[in-house]
Amino acid sequence: MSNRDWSLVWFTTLAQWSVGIILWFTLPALLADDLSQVLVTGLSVRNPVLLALIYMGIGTISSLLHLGNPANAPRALNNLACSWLSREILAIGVFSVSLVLILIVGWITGHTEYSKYLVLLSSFSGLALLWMMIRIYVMPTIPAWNSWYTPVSFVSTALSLGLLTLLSLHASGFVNTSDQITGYFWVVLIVILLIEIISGFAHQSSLLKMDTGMDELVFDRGTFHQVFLLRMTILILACLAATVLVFKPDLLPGNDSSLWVLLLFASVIVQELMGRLLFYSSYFRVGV
Amino acid sequence: MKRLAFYFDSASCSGCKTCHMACKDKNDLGPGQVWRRVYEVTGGGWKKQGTTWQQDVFAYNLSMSCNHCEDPICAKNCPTHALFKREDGIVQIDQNLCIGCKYCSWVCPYGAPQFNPEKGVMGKCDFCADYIDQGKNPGCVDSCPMRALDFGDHQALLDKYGPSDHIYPLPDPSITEPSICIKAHPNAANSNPRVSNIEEVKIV
Repeated sequence: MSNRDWSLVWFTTLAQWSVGIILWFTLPALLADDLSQVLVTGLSVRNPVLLALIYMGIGTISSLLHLGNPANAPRALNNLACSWLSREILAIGVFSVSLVLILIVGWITGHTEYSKYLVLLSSFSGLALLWMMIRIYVMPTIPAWNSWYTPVSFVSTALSLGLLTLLSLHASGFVNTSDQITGYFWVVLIVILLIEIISGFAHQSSLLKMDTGMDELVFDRGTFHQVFLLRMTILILACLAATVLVFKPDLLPGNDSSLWVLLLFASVIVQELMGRLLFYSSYFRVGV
Repeated sequence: MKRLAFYFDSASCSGCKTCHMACKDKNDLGPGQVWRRVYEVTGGGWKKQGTTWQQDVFAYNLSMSCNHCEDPICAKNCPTHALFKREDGIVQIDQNLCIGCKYCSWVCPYGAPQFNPEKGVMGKCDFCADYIDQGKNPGCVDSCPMRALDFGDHQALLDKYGPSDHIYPLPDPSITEPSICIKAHPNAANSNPRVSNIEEVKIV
């Protein structure tokens, strides 16, 4: 894996995190017809739209570092008819502009009825972006990526990081959500982490059956295997910690559970980055 | 629409790599840029037959560049249209449009598009399109001392040389429908083939 691919690790993780934030903040709010937690004004971590826009912005800048000729980047929209990469760039544009409009409308006029439609636009464009990112990597010539694992890992990255952002802000007192709903959200998080554990092992098992044709790319030993084991260890510990936080919080030392939530959040971010690093490192293609 | 294609006779190729060097020379390619590469495929070993041991060691060469596929996965996925197919079937790249995202090199199963770090854009075999336009032959074809390389319309090559063989390490042709006609070396069907000069042909 070259240094330039690191920019894609950051880009895909941050973009999916950004989409996850919007989905977890807006969908329950839309269902309850109460967007007060979403349409927050001001430069604050309470403002999920601002957070999502910052992550998307950093991710997009990072993606430019991957390009050999970034000056030509605007031309990336030329092939919308066939190229998933072009479509991804369009989805990033629509998603980002919708977030900017939500912020501007809230800042200038205070949120109005129109803000709801902008929130809907950001949610749908975020989902579209997630879909397009998946389609870019599911390619018949790249066996390690042409698998069920690519959509599972991308969606679980978005859902786990987005949900943990919401839960961390709740634990820190920045977001008001009912304890009952928060409890449901914790259970959902545990399920997502369990899916990541099971899918991670299953995918590793399928990688071991592949002949990469390259002596330096092996999945059962060396750095790849060590990073995989470390990631899985962090993931299992995070899943156990989340379970204890929800069902047996008394077992945790100290009175401040928000610290444990933040630690859990940090560990999930680290394992997601490791997972994405492994994803790019598993690249090999059929043929010559 | 015409469909220009290469013909390669693996049975005649001696592995001298003159085609490889002619391509580098014609296109002024630096280290790491190998638009035409010669794969040395080897395999076999010792096998016990009754009370004796016999060897089935084999070797053959495969000269490979862009196959100007009928369904070019590189051009289809290029976000800027920098990669495009000409009327005569040549898949060409307009480096002025390229953003250097390298996606074409990820997806091409023939390793044809290659990143040029000096220019920050992709480059690939263009069938020596300037020569073709002047009515000349591609550099690699003319340079081959064994006459193992030829080119022409895909159907005309099939009519002339017979159906194309599928040999290791080429991928399933149904993925991109490559415009290539190959005459296999008699040993190409042997078991356990490996590319033995991987460091030489590895694309960085």
